[in-house]
Amino acid sequence: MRIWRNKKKLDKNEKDPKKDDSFQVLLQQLSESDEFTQFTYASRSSTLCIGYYTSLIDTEILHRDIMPYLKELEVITSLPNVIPIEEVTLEKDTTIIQDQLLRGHVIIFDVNNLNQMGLAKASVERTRQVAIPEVEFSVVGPKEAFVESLDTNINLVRKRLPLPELIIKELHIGKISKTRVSVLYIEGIANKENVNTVIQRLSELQVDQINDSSYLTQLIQDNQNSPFPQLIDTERPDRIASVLGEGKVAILVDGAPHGLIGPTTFFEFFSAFEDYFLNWTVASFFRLVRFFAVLFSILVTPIYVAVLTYHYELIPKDMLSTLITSRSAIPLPPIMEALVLELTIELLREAGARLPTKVGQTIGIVGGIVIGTASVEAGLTSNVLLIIVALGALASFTTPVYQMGNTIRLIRFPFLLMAHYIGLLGVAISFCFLLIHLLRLSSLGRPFLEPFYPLRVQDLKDSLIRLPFSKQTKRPILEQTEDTMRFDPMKAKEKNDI
Amino acid sequence: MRRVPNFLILCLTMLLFLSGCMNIKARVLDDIQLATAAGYEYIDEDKIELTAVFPNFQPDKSVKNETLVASSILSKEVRDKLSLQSEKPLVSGKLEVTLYEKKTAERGIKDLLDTLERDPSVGSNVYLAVVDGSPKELLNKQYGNMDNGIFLSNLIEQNIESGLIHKTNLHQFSYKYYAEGIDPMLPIIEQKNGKINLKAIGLFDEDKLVDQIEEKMYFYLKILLNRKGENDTHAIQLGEKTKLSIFNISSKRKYHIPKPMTNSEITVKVKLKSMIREYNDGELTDRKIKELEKAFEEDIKRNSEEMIKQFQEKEIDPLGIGEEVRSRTRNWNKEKWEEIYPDIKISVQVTMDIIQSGIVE
Repeated sequence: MRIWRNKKKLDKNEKDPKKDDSFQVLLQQLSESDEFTQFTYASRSSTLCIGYYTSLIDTEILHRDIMPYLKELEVITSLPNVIPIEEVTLEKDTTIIQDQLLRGHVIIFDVNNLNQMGLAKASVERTRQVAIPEVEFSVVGPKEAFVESLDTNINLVRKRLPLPELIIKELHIGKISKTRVSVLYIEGIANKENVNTVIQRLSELQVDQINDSSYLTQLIQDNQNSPFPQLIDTERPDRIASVLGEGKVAILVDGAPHGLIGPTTFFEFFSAFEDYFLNWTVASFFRLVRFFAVLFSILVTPIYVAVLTYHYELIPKDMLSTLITSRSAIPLPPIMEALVLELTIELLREAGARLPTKVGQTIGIVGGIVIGTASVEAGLTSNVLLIIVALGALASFTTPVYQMGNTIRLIRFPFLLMAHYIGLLGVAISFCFLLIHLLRLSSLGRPFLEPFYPLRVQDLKDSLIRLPFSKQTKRPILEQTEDTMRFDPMKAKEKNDI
Repeated sequence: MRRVPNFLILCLTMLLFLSGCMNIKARVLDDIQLATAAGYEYIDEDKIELTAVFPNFQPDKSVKNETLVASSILSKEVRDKLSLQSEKPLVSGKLEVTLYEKKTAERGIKDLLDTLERDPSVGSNVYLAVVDGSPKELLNKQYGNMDNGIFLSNLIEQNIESGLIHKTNLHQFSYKYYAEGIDPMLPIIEQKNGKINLKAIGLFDEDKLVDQIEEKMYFYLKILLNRKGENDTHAIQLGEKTKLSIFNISSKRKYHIPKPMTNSEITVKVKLKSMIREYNDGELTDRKIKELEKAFEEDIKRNSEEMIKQFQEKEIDPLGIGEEVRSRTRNWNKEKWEEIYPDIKISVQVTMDIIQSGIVE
């Protein structure tokens, strides 16, 4: 309710602008910026004025495709017929003109006739080349990753799905950034409800700037306070193309090299797209390893602390001597020891992330080897815990989606504290809280823990494990797709092998 | 606004209902003394002497065996007395073995077991054993690079796993003690030339040690004790020269009780599938194997029946024949069974099948 009311007020503000409608005022405002170039040019019949932002246009287009043709211009209204560029329009509305100028159009108008302004598109986009995916690298499979240009990104998706049904809805979000945001879905597969949810949430957004797709994840996901991301972000166009075929909705943002996917489930965050390039047996094994790694990473240090502080009975008799000798000279209680080491690892990670690659590597080596060995030799930490913490950290880095990996690293700390205060009971209670939280979460209104809760047996075949493609005949139930069958399973069985 | 009160309610409910669970004291592993073995002995009419063993882990990874001795009338009270001698609090959660002096065991160990059964931190897989000699002396010596609790526990565990003695621990003992129609057994150990030896198996009547069977009878006891068995080994000598040892691949035991709770005969049927491990009288032919099977059957039958007779004379039932009867009748009556048990004729039928004779051709 509150959000809605705020919105109304803002609308009213916009309705009584102090802006003067007149074109002269706009021109005045534009020329205040030194970067705005404006000059007059005498054509055969009239004096034309040409204006543009130097940084936004391609001067080659201006010189090659616009200027030579202006000589023959009789009246400004025939501009679209004269200039051989596809996007040449005539406009009167100053707000549109301003908008277009800022998107790299050239304004051409007759100094004596200010009723019609010609706009020709001469924009240039300076963007990086399509490169190898770095966050979601895969050894096999396509090696294209999104770049910062929305048009390039859409091109990367569309060339994988040459379908008229692939619909792209474009919105402009952000009061000052006016970022182009595209919503992608396949008509006839994606459920309209999901599409409308996304479009509604996007169009109701009240922000001033959108600099990256991760802004949108935080702004439109169902529970914004949850540490768990509820939309997958990916830099792989092939992943987006693949999930569009499952009936999901994708969001691409201009200036962001990552797209968003929704609705999604908790388990999808642990599927690397590489899983689909490998044989299903291998892929399933890797997925199970990843889930084990997550549980291990969250639970191993808390269990160590709990067992050493409260439940000495649980230690197998053959491990007693190893554990006790490794801890005998350590003055810190287990929780301090664990916290110190966990924080050390976090420091290493943070330092490595903030520094340039080369220096970061050095920090990793210095931290891992020197600090680790030195702290054991100095008797500050036990070597058993050092191994445990290092393994836990390693396990947390197996999560394919970076955002989820960070969450996994964060949620072990409450576990650790609870383990210190009430032992394994604390670990169990924390786990209950975690589970309750995950059960409450939803992604675009769809349950986050599907296919386990609610149980959807059919969707299990692409969750913890991945069954072969020939068994994946139906699209996931989660998305409630309009066309539920991927292909006809009967036809798939007919094989005309010689 | 709805979420916060819900969360608070949950926390408060937990504080209210789980407050019992919060009453746990932190016992950091390196700040406690882990008792791994305990030895009990009555030193006079009602005073118990308790020897507690705990490992002292040296920085060079070796382990020193240390003991504390104290005496009192209750075993938990002894523990408090032991704590007075110790630098760290003594805890019982890692107890692996408890030993009872032979005279103490003959007097009955139920009262001494009570503390183990009652203490939640003591597991039910604690091994119990009877010591022929003083437990204090036995536990005082170091037998390997480990403390005696772990050493004895490994010793007993190894022998159970390799099939030399029956399964035994606190749980098994308590079960057989409380169940009707079966009596417990415990291994008897002794210290001999600085080594520990599993000497015999002690037979209990209720909680009192009354008899023992020697090492050479373990095999008969084992095949009769369990419904299904494996891994037993046995050796016999036939005549002057023929000696052979067999390894039991599988054994099956069945009771045939036509009329339970009466004096009528009870037959125990044992089927064995074995392989020959060692044989030292020339070549093995099929005919010879048949002969050996016969000889074995007779040997097992004779010795088993003798052993059962011995049990009946002592009025104990470590094989659990009473329990077999109890499971076959509605008119179970403990007193009546104890009355008729010594006079029932119990016979053993053995079928031996040697299915392998090794790889020597």
